[in-house]
Amino acid sequence: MNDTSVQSVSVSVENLHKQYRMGSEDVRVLRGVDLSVHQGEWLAILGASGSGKSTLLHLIGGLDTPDTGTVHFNDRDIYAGLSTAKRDRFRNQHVGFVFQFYHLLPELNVLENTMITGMIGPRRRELRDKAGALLERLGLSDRLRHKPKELSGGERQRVAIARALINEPDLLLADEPTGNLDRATGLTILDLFAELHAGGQTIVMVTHDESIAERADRSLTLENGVLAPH
Amino acid sequence: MYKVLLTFRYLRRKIIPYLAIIAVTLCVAMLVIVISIMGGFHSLLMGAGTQLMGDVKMETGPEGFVYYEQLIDAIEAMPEAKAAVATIETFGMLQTRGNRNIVVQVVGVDPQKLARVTSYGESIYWTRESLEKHLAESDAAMDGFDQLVEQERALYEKLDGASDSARARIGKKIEDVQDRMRDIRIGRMNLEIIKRYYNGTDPASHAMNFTAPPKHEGDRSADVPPMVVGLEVNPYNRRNDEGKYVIWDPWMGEPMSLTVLPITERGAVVDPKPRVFAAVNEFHTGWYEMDSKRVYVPFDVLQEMLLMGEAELVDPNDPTVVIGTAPARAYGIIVRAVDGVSAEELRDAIAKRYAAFHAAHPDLPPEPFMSIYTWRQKLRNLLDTVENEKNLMTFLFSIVSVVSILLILAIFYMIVLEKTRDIGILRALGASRMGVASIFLVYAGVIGAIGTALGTVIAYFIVTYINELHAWLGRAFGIVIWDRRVYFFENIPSRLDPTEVGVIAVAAVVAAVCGAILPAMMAARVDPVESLRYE
Ligand SMILES: Nc1ncnc2c1ncn2[C@@H]1O[C@H](COP(=O)(O)OP(=O)(O)OP(=O)(O)O)[C@@H](O)[C@H]1O
Ligand SMILES: [Mg+2]
Repeated sequence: MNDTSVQSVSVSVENLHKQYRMGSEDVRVLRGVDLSVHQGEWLAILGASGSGKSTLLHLIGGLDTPDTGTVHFNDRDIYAGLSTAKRDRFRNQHVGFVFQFYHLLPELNVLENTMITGMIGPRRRELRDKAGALLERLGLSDRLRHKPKELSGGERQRVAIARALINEPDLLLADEPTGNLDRATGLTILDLFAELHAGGQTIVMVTHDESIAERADRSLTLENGVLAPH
Repeated sequence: MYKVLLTFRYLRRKIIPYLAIIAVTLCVAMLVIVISIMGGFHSLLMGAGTQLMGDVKMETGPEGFVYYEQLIDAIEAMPEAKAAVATIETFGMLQTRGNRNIVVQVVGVDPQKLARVTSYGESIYWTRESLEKHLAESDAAMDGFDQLVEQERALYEKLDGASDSARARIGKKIEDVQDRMRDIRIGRMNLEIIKRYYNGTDPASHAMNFTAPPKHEGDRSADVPPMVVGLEVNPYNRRNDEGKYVIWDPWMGEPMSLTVLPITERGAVVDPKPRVFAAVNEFHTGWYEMDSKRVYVPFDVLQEMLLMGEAELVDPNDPTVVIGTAPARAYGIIVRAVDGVSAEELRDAIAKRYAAFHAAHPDLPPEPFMSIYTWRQKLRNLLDTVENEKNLMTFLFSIVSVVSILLILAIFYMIVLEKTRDIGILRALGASRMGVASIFLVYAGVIGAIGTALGTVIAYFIVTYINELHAWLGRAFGIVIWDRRVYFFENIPSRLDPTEVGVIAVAAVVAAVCGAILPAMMAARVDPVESLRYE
């Protein structure tokens, strides 16, 4: 890395370790991950199932806690430097999560699912208008009152993306955004990411599909607990 | 904001929240009903006590005491006392038509004065208004008579060709209709008798002055002393399902013999002497004990019957030699306090006045033998019992409420378990631990509030219509919870106290929230990563 880079460093991960205890043996999932994500970059992380991609993504987003190592976000250590409550706030304000399994709230309709991130945290003006505009952009304006169970997989994923974007996060984290979708639908989601990326959105995307990773600016592979260039 | 949204969305789901609401509703309703009825009973007792018994009473024993007239003058001269009246009280046997005997409590009193110290005047049953009301109701019933005849005919028609079980049911209905027709006809006939008896005079005036109405043509009523009888003494004055009195066999004007047992000043029992009286009116206080036992007669008449009047004293060795006069005796004195003076204050003042009076009249008994007590002291045991019963019931139902807190705990535990993934999502999106915990606290608070509101409304209706409900239960299922003989009053008393209802309401909402504390803590501890790992 060099300091003359035009783009300021957005996220930097250093020597991240994470292990889980399963019965009597320890599963060492991450064994010293180093990573830098630049402002406006679209990064893909590849890896086999069970290699620890989701674990890494959660750690980057401040959702989990590492055993050792640090995650800096704009020069701020989000684990050592933030209390749990402040980290909750940080996730809400700066990070947009798109989960592997959509994870929409079944009781809320499309509009409410989109607005929920905005409703958590400080009061935002014109939240509803913003959600409406966002859903329109994602082609869901005629489904606002529908419940998640009335939507197709692709539609659900688009609602999940809308929910992740409503607070205009600095960083969008997507865990297998196309994993549960057919090829054609998956491609529309990728087109959406490309569009967001063109608008300057920083994206870290996890996938096990190389053809999908190709759409990103840069790909890294998680193997044996460490990241390597692809 | 998201908490409110989720609370209302979760509320609209499935039956679990409704179960919790029902639990809270029932607990609140039960508590409010119990407290209202017991509280109503208590305040009715208090009201009845002061209204029916007067504020302070003084009495000795069955032999009575002398100089009561001077004592009354002395008491009425006190600034604390508004009025006082002498009474003679004893038990007697009332022989009614067909030689049926009824044991009654006979009270000899001046009605005008009694009305000044108790609510006697308001308790007089036959007045111009009540007679008119009875007649109007009877008119209305007579207007519906044809309908009943029609009903009866239709039922008889149905009887033909009905199955055996249906016949029994229809037979019962026919009996009911016939009973009603009979009540209406007999009631009408007897009202006419009463109306003729009063002969255009004001019925209440006879109760207030112990007079009899002028005789009408064919009147067989005797020229005997009057009496005013408790409405429930006559077993033929029956209450129908609606709680109204049906007059089956009025006693007004009819001669009846009353036997009392005289006791001499020295406590010896003298041969009983019967005397004939005729009822000129009835009274109805709602206090069953009084209505079913008491008979008022003129003071002088009873005094004479009991040999308590002024008498000549003769030389025991030579009965022809008069050595003086024995003064007249009374059994008790009832005193009413002036406004602003409590019964207790009046009692203490009278006790002090009596001490001086006793010093001047040494043949009167001193205070413990002359007992001076307030109505509250007289009802002490009863009031305490009711108070205890109220507390006990409140305690018991509070335990039931603890069970409902546990129920809420269980219900919320289930809700939190079921919503673990949602909680994880919210946490991942930035909701704090406190935030997700408070969703469930708010949720429980809303459930508590809805349950409390429903429970209060239900309790309000049950408490308001408790007597109608009770009558219906008795009619439909033969269930009688309120035995008038046991509870003194003929109607179930009830009184919704806004403060008590308020306390119960707040406690119920707090309890519901308390029930959700553990599940809410559980929600706060949900690990978002763990809950998001699976689909
Ligand atoms: N809470 C946990 N307890 C025990 N083991 C865990 C836990 N979370 C993750 N693991 C293990 O850590 C490893 C990495 O899990 P992770 O979900 O990060 O993999 P992944 O690369 O995202 O896989 P996939 O492509 O299937 O989503 C797996 O072997 C998993 O079993
Ligand atoms: Mg994964």
